This record gives sequence, C-alpha cells and structure tokens, in this order.
Amino acid sequence: MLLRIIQNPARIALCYAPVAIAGAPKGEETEVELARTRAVSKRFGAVEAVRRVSCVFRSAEIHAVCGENGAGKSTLLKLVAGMTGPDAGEIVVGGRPLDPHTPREAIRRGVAMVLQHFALVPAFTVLENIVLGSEPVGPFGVLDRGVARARAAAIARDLGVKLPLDARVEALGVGDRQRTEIARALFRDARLVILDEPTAVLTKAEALALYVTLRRLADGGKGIVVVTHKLDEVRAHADVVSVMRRGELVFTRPLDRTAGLDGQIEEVTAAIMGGAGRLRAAGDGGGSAADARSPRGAGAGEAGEAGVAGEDGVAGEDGAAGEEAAGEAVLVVTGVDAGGVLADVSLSLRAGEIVGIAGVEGNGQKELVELLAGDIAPARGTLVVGRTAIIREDRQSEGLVLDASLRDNLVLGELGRFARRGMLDLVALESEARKRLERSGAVRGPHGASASGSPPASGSPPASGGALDLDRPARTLSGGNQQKIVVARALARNADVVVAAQPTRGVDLAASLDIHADLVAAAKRGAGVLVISADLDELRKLASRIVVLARGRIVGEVPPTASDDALGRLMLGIAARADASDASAADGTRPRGAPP
Amino acid sequence: MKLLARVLQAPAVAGLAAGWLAFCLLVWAYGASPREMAALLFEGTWGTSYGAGQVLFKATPLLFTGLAVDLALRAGLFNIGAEGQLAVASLAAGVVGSRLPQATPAIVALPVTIGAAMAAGAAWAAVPALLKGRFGAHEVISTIMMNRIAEGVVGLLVASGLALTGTVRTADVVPGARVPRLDALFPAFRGSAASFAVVLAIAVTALVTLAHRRTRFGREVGLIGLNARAMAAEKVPVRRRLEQALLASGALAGAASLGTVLGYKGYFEEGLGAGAGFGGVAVALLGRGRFGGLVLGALLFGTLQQGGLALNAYVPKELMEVLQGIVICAVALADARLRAAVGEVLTRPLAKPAAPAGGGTP
Repeated sequence: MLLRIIQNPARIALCYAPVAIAGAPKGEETEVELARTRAVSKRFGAVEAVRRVSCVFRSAEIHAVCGENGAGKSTLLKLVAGMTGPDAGEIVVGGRPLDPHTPREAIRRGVAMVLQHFALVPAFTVLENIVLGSEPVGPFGVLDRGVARARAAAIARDLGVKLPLDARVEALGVGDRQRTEIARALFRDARLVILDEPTAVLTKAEALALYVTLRRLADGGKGIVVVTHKLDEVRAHADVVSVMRRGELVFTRPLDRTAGLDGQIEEVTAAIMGGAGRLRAAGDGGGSAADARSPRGAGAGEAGEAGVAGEDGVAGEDGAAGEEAAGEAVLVVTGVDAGGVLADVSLSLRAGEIVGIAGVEGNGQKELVELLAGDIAPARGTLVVGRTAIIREDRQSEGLVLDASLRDNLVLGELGRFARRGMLDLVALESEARKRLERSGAVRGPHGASASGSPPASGSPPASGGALDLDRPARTLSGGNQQKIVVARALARNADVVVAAQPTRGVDLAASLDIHADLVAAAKRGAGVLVISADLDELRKLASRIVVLARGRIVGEVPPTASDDALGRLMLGIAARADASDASAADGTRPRGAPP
Repeated sequence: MKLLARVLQAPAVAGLAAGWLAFCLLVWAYGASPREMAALLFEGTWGTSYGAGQVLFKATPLLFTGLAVDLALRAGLFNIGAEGQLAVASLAAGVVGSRLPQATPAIVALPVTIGAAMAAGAAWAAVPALLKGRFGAHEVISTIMMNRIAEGVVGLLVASGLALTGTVRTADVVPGARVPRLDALFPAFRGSAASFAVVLAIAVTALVTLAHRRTRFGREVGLIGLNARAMAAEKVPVRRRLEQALLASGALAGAASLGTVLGYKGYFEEGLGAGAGFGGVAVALLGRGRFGGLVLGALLFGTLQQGGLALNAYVPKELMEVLQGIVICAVALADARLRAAVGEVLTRPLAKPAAPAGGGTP
C-alpha cells in the first residue's frame, strides 16, 4: 500500500488535492454555511418527530446535536442528508433547496451521513466499500484500482488512521467499520459529515480516537455533525451544541471554551431535560430517559445506582455475599491460545464472584466468548470449566429466534430436556417457559414502563393487562425485554459459569438495571459470572475485579476503582507491561466478593 | 376495502383470485367462453364421482411431494429436488416390488416396497444434504442438478436391465405390494385411478404436521429455519439437523410413489410421476406448513391438472399449465415468508454456510 503511494506520487497529488485541506492550520478558513434547515417538520403517523426546526451547519466546526431518545435528532439529520423528505419547511444544502430529497442528491452537494448501523457490504474489502457507488473509472468503465487505492490511502492518512484496505469488512471490528464509513463519505468529497451516535458502540478509547479524527477533519474545513447524548463528549469536543426536545430545537449555541464550561454544560443539560432538571426520575415521558447512560451531566447515574438497591435490595446484602464469595474455582483457563487471536490467556473465576473483562472491541473478546462457549477449542493450554451459560453479544442474531414465540425462545436449545424418545412433553415445556417468563420480568406490569427501549413507532402490540403471552413472537418485544428473555434463559440453567457479553448494549436504563440485578443474583446464588463489556461504568458497578484484554492477551487486572486513565492505558496496550505487573502485584488473584 | 386488501394478501386467496382472472383471460384470448369453460372444468373434476376420483388420484403424489418440500422449507432449505428423488424412488419401488416372491402378503410386501422407495428418495437427497452439511453447498443448485442426474441414471438403469426387455417399464409388482383402488370400497369411483394411497397421504400429512410441533426434531428444524445462528449458539447440531431434514424430505418425496407405482400402474415406467416433484413445490408454497393448506393445495393443483384434460377438447391443456404457473407466482408474491427466504437465498454466499458476520449490529 505504502509502496504504491511512493511509486505514484504525481497521481496522488492530483486526486489528493481536493481533500488535502486537512493540513491547513485552524482558523485560516472562514466558516462557510454548508447546510441549513428552515422550519422543517416531519411527522411519522401521530408523532411529530421534527417540528419547525431551523438550524445551520457550518464548515470547520464540530456540531453536537443532543437530546433524549426520540427527541428527533436522527430524523432532523436524516432530513439534511436526504434520507427522508420533510412534510413542511425547506432544507438548503450548498446554497440551494435540496431537491429531490435523496441521499444521492445530498451527497452530490457534499453531505454524507454515517448511520448508527453501518451500511457496508460485509463481503467486500474496505477499499471496495469506500469506493462503492463512486468508483473511479478508467476507459471503458473499468474500475481504476490504482486511483481508488491511492485516494483511499490518502484519505486514511488524512484521517490519521490506519485502514486495512484489503481486509474484508466482515472481519473488522466496529471501530474499523466506522472509520471505513467515514472514509467512504470523504471519498465522495463530503464537506458535511453527519454521524449518528458514533460512539454508541465504541469503547472510551475508541471514542477518543474518533474525536481526534473528527477534530482533524474540522480543522481541515469539514463540517462535522455528531448526534449524541453523551454530554461528556459534548463537553470535551463540541464547538457548537444544539439540543432537540420532543421534536423542537430548544437550544443552539457555540460553546465558549475560554469561559467556564461547567455552567454552559449545565445549560445544555437543562435544555435536554426540559427545565425540570436533574431530579427527574427515569420514567419521565414514557420512559424516554432510556439512554441517559452517561453519569456525568445527565444526572441519571446516581439515580440508577440507587435504583438497584431500592428495587431489589440486592446491593444492601452485598456484604454478606462478599463474605461467602470465596467459593471454589468454576473456571480455570491456563495459557490458552485460541481462535488465532487469544494468546497465552490465563484466567480464573470462582463461584460467587463477578469478574469484568475490559478491552477495546476486537481484541479477543469475541474469541474468548467462543472459547468459553465451546465454539472453538483451545489450540494450546488448558481450559477447565463447569457448566456454562452464555449471554451472547448479538441478541437479535445469536440470542433469539425473533420470529419464534417467547415459549420457544425461553427454552431455546433445551428441547432435549423436554423430549422423551423424540416426543416433546408440551405440558412441562409450557410450565417451564411460563416460569422463566415470569422471572424474566420482560412482560409484566404497565407495558409502558417495562418496554421503554422500543422505538416509538415499533407498532408492537401492547401486552394486554400484563398477561403473559407465550405465543408472542420475540420480535414484538423491545430491545430491553428481548435481552431480559435471553438473560432469563441463560440464568435459568443454573450454570456454574455465566458469561455475559455486552449484556446491556442497546438496552434502556430500566432494563439495564434489571439485568444487572439478575447477574448479581446469579453470583449470589453461587455462579461465577464473567461480564465482558465495552461499558466501563458497567464493569465498575458489577465486577469485583476487572481483567483487561488487549490484542488477545490479558494485559492486566485492576480493581473496579481504577481510573479511566489507567484502564484506558491498559486497554490501548500502552505501558502494558509495567502496569500489568503492577496491577497483578497489587491486586493479585485475591477473590474479592460480589460487587461494590 | 382494508379487509379486502388483507384477504387478498392471504396467499391462497391471492393465488386463487389471480388464477381465476388468468383463466378467464386466457380462455377468452383463445376464443372460448370463460363461463362455459369454467362449467366444463367443474364438471370434469368435481362434477362427477369419476372426475373427483381422478382429482384425488392426481393430488396424491402432489400431497406427498408438497409435504416433502414443506418439511425442507421449514428448515430454511429449498428442496427443488423432489422430482429426482421421486423418480429414483419410483424405480426402486418398481424393482423391489416386482422382485418379491409372488405370494408375499401385503403386510410385508407393502412396507418393504415403500420402505425401499423412501430409502431411495432419502439416498438421492443425501447427496445434496451432505454437500450442504459438510461443504455448505447451496441446496437449491445441488438439488436441481440431482434432478438432471436422476433423469439420466433412471434412464440408464432402465436401459441396462432393470426393465423388461424391449420396454422402459419394470415387471409388475407383486399383488401384495399394490395399494388397492378406492373403487374397491366405493364403487362410485369406478374407473378412476384413485387409490387408498390418498388416504395414506392425508394420514402422513397429518402426522408430519403434528410432528413439527410435538417432536424435538420438528421444533428444532423449524427454529433453525428461522434463525440457524441462534440455534448453533445454543449448541443445537444445526448441520446434522439440516442433513436430517433434507433426508426426511427426500424420503417423503419418495413416498409419493405410493400413488403412482403402487396405487396406479402397478409397475414403474420411465416418466411415471414426472412433474409431481415440481408440483410439490407449488403445493408447499400454497400450503404454508398447515395441514389444511397442504391438502387443499394438493387438491387445487390436482383439480387444475385433471381440469386441463377435461378441457382439452376445447382449449389446449397447456393453458392449464400456464394457469398453474400463474397461481404459483401469485402465491409467491403474497407470501412474505417466501419473499424473505428467497431474498436470503439470493444474498447469502453460495460457497459457504452463512458465516457469522463479525461484530454484527446490536
């Protein structure tokens, strides 16, 4: 790749020119208006997702659009990117009203959007994905690979990232996929790049790297729009903040970094919350607090913590759990290599303890889960494990059969237990499924409270009066309740080891708390629980020790009190050696009971 | 209006409506009166007991093959190979049935013969099953190819000594292996080729649809058809289940020879039962995994086939074949499940089983 660039300097200079502004020093370029909305409205059925919003997006700045779930952030920006048309009002892109309202037209005018769920072709390479739809062609319409590669490489360099241009996208982690999407936008000469919740699936370190990249782009004159609800990101990186609430734009203002930020962020928080401010409970407006996951600013973190203790009384009894937690080892991994990624992994887990696995996505977590699930065998080393229940990372494709009934999903893979000479004992199956459904808490009480994670227009039939309906397809549940089904199933197996991979990813706050309480309860019951998560706050809350995985190796073990900084350094493998030895010396393998 | 739209989306209704419309248009274009032809069609099929018997006779193999295709479809497999599986099974029935001692009692002869036929059908399906399970070869392609191979192999075997010299047929199966005609018990069906195989077909259909719900195998196969990755994650032996489903599908397709070889001719001849395998695909699409749907689907296509013969004096019977195609297309269009399956078939890589896409989307 590099070689080619050197071989071909003239060509690169030629096609590199239009995007080569990244190097320009900040402030030289005057801010240009790239897009603006004029009183746009968009309605989905009975819900007015966006109501008379006028907003400007300029070059050379990072513009954060904040708001709660369902506040209309994504819809507003999809309007700007031509992905949907407005019911009223006007969208001006590149000085003229956008017409027709198609992504193609928006891209032609320099606006590209990176969706939360990426739109890449998994079987294609990174390079093929980057050029897809705007392939540079030579004579006779043949793809000019040389030009494509040179431009893509230049863009990657511009972004300050390494992109494996020849790797297939399906083999990449989330971070690389996102970078591919951004590179793709730039390949089409986008001047305004819109990212919808780009850090939702990233670890803190990855998120930081993303913002470094975005800053480079903004300094180079691009307009960046980031949809987010993480106020710490806004605080650290945004130049301009807009806040949407219930479809309306209620706040839009540049952040003055020379003045005190606390006050300004306070105002943003107030705008998001709608004045009622930080004392508001999680259930406001039909549980729309779903993703107020960032403890700083949103003020929901403390409420969340309290929620667990209050709801289940679990936290209160933790002391006792801690005492008896020094159980026997239920999982011992010694010097295991596996899946071509894991190298020399040693790990032990005792009955009754919760251990967290932290790490940047794609550093062996997937392989670790596969190893413990028995999908792959260790190539070297030994693995001693009791009966294991796995909560898979991707509940929709691996955890559930979405179109099957809750009944089938609750006993998925356990039909052997209910079969005698091949015939199912339907009565036993029914009662077991019913028991698990009741325990899962997925379908109970007033529907609005338990299904807050579902998108407003999901059209799922409401649970009738809290009745347990085992015939209901899993697809009709909200994400949080789907995950509760998966968790209930895994925990019902009374396994010695429970492996939970990203147990609350994409799950609303209320359901997250329930799931955390379930995991804690499983540990109390005597299972060893391994939580693999990209959410450090989650690990801190649950685990008694956190093991850090980087490049397939375990690089350290820290107590849950370790700072973000220390964890981050371990996760990135910086000074891994020193830290690792320090950490293990300090913390040892001393079992430390159930969560704090 | 809304109700009408919903009713029209029910595949069977959509199929019938489109079929009727097409029938009228085609007959009218051919210069005949749709009304008269429809009357003739009815008279030639359900209008007389002979006609009804003929419909049952035509529907019998269709019901078996329809059930076979449906079983595979539940597992997410498109078994286009019922045609070939049936051809091989029919030959096996003819050969085994005719080589039994002449005096073998029915209680032995019939199970042995049909067992041989089903085993042959399963064996023919075993090739695509193994290719699928071991190498991830796409079953649509391999089953289609096995149809062509079956045609050749059956012809070759018939020519190389399994047939009576100078003919393309085997010797008669022993009397004990024959399925009695319906008219033996119900004289009203006199002259029609319907046999008690139709009763067996319905009973087997009932049993199999029940088994889908009540057996571990049936449930697991159905769940695999909906999401194989989740089942694999739960350590259900997905590949083996897929292989087994395809084998069972082949065996059921082979059982269709009950209606043709054992219930009708009493021997196998080249080409006997041809078309029933493909007809089964249509029946399965129409039946959508329901007992009633499968039976009605088989009766519908049986009616259309017999009706084509009844109208042959006025309009060519090929017209009815066009009609069958149109019904299938309409059903397919209205069937979301099928749309999804075909979409998946078209997008999934041919060479390997759906590989877990790393990372995935939450």
